Amino acid sequence: MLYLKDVTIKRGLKTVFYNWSATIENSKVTIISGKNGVGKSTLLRAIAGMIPIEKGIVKNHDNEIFKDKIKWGQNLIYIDSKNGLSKDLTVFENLKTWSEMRGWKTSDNDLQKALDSVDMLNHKNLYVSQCSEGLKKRAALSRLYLSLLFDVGFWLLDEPTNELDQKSIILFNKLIQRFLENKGTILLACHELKLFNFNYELLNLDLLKKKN
Amino acid sequence: MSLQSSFIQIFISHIKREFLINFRSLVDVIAIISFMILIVTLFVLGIGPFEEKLKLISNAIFWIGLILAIIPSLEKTLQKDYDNGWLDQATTSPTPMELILLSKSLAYWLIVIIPLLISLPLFIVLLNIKLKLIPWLLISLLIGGLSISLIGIIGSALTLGAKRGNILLPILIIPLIIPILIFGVGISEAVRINESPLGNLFLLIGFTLIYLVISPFISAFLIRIAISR
Amino acid sequence: MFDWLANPNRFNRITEKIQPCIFLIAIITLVSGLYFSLFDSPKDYQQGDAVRIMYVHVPSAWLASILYFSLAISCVFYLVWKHPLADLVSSSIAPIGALFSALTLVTGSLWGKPMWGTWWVWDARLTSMLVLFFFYLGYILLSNAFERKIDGSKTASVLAIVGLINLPIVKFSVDWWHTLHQPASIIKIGGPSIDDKMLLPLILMIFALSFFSLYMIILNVKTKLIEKKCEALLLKSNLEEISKAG
Repeated sequence: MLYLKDVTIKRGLKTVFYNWSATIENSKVTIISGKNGVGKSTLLRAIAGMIPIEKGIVKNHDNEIFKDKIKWGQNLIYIDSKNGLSKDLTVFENLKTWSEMRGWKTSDNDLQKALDSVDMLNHKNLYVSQCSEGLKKRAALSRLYLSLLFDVGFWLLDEPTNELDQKSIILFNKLIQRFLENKGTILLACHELKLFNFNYELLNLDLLKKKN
Repeated sequence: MSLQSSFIQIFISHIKREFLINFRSLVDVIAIISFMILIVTLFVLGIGPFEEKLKLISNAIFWIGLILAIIPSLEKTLQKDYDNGWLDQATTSPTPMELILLSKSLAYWLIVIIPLLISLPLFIVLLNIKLKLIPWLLISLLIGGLSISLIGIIGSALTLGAKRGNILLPILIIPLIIPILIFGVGISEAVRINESPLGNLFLLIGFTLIYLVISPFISAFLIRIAISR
Repeated sequence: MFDWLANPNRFNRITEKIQPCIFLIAIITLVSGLYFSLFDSPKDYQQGDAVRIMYVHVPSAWLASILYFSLAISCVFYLVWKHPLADLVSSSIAPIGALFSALTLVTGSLWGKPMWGTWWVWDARLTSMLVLFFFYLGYILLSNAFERKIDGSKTASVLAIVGLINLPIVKFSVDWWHTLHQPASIIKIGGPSIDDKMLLPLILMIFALSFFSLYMIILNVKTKLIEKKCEALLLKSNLEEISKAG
């Protein structure tokens, strides 16, 4: 159970969340919805540890997650619209350097399987600067497969389906299915709810923020 | 299944990544060398071909050439990875940002210093540098280059997402690296007039050590500010 | 103590009372200081009347340094305790500090013309002051280089602190450089052999300029507080309009 209690999150001088509480169930998919600018991305970035939480606590099973940032970093994957791919590297090199940065020892075989899981194996030697937005997104999502091999508990995904075509969405759904089998927790900010063929909890920020 | 790698391994793989990005082809190396040669040429054209004058200021030209060669590419080192979201990935990874930045500045140092070492014989000929000077020049360039990279990373982190960052960066960086220039030129000057260069060398080493310790922390702090925007 | 003063209302109330006193002290010391320095102090046997520039030059140099120090300290307060008033203080100090370092450079150069025959000499102190001026400039430029004011404040505060670490090294290295390249033959302005009659106007001028800058800083902070209040009010009325329209 990821547990947010009385959190206040600011972006610049603007207070996006004020004394706000929510719970996110483990081993499930939670979709964060709400209109533009309500704070979906801010919430995800705050949980990922990029935006400081001014007040309040965030707990995962009684552990305050930001007490041990290294442990929390091991436990989560964050992907947003920026993808985090270097233009000057190929798709394969990007995935390799990324997994090395996390301190994961992965064989080339694992990396290829990861690329295959999002149908990117044919494009593995393509430079990211030559990729279309959809290919970039798929290259970024290949990290999710890698995380299945290691002990990652959380996926924080900000609008992951935006540039994906029909086929990739099916592959993405498969990845999610596998992660759920591994008892993983997924937090997803998304508009299009009908794309997913699994059960999810809905965290509607429009409603929740009013109630608080 | 697989093992976690140690910090040293992460560190080395990071340097590899920077090399992959920056030295995709030989053209990049040639570009840096050509840039330095052109700067030196401009200096010599500016002061005239008098050997006496050249002897006096060749050390200074060398150092200014080094500084000018480093600064233009500094802005992009972090800005690129900030724009494409790589720094976001680094923050949400278990690896401390300080480690990543230390490896980034060391990689940057190597990227600048390797073309310089390749072209050093050329500069020795072009600037009439005496043989006894060469080992000292080498040491001072290696150490000075390291401290310039360490300060450069701070500057690069300061201007992340700033308007007109490319103009701002030299204004912020140059006052900070004045001591490097003074100590560095001091070493060569001392050798030239047959005095011991050790005083200047120790000062340069001390200065570099200070920044070796503080630079990763300061830049990591700045990057956290930039990412929380 | 700082936390206690950091409340904007309390800050306003306290400064309301002490501001006139500061102004009064500044005026009295300035008038008397100028009188003594211009009319009632001896000419230098070497420098003649040109020595009177010292009564502006030395206090300005002193203030430029001390103001940078306080700027950096207030930046530490801002970054560690995150109080917005500390940021207002440092951004109020910066232009005044920059002004004094520029004044030091200009007076130094004016003094240099009759003494050395050129407007500018790469003297160790003047060079250090030039670097200090660029530190101020960097702070001001950086704090205005971001779309949102708060990003600029945070980033520039880090720069100010790096500058605090770096400036003593720059000062030392420039002195070091100077002794290497030139024997110490230049007459030092305000050296140790100073006449007692010169000391009085010098001290008076230091007081005058210090209190003047303190007054200006408080004024600056107050202006910025009001600006902030206006912005907040504007934002609020905008929001109300939007909610009415919606």
